[in-house]
Amino acid sequence: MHQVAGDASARARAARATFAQALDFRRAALGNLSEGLALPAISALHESVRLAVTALAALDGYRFSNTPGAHEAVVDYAHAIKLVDRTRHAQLDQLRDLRHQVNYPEDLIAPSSREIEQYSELVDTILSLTEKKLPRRRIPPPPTRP
Amino acid sequence: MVYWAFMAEPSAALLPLFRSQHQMQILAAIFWGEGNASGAELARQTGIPQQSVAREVARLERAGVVGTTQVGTAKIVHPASELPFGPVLRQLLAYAGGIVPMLARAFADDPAIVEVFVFGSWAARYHGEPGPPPNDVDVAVISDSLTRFDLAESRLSLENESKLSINLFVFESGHQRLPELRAEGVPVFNRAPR
Repeated sequence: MHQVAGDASARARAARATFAQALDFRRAALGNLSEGLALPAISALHESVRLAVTALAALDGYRFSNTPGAHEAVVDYAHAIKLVDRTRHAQLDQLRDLRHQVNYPEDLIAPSSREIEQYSELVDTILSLTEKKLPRRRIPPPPTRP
Repeated sequence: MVYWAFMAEPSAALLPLFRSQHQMQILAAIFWGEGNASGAELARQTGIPQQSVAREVARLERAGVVGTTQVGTAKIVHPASELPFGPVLRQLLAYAGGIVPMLARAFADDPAIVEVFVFGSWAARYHGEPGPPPNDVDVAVISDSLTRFDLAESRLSLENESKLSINLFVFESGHQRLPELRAEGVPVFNRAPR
């Protein structure tokens, strides 16, 4: 994780753009689920929540390095900034761990529908908490009438 | 058969730093087990003959790695106090087998969990199969009502305590791969009716 240059408005723009990607992945997860694709849905849910936390880091002026352990750092950052409590931190870490078990045979790791619901609810909660922390886009003033 | 007792014990494939597989298992039970165990109790926990346990404990006591206290007729074995390399040894022993009693402590009180065992490469090394050191520990939890999500806090606590990477797999009791995985696994506990 390292600091990035940029003023507050540039950081807010970057955060909002990253959060928009997080929402795209949430929608992708729903699409995967409707097609019965459990593991791609888990992957998309993980990506969604990872990007949401990355958006908050961007707002704070940080970027996660593209190195081994970066996904763990994202989960720990969510806990460090008190976005999640201890329980949700553990649940997020479990989602990360499940996402990284893709090398195992599918019949060993395939999540049940209840488990997918649990992760979906967790991701929705975190997306909602993240959205509340992001600064709202400024509405430009109305054009002045002649 | 007569000279079997004089043959060298197999080395520890999981962590070949130890003199033998038995020594590693006994140390793991002493440092991570239920605590203050007698030789008979250590034999029960590890499945190693009591005579071998007594021989190994005597050797470890001479080296100052463990201490013993006489309680009635039983000799209670414990990690030596103020062992300079105690924390490091304890850490190694978590990897070398201490994870098994840790898992029992974490899950045995949950009535929704029927069985726990370790499988995969860690279990294979534990059973003496040579190969590269496993990067993580694959743990099978058998439960018809819980998910990995429900056990997330337990998993993270175990990882923090053991400093090992733990992959949790939750299977329903009728999962078709269970007999095969269990056969190669290291049991932690099983309360399923037989």
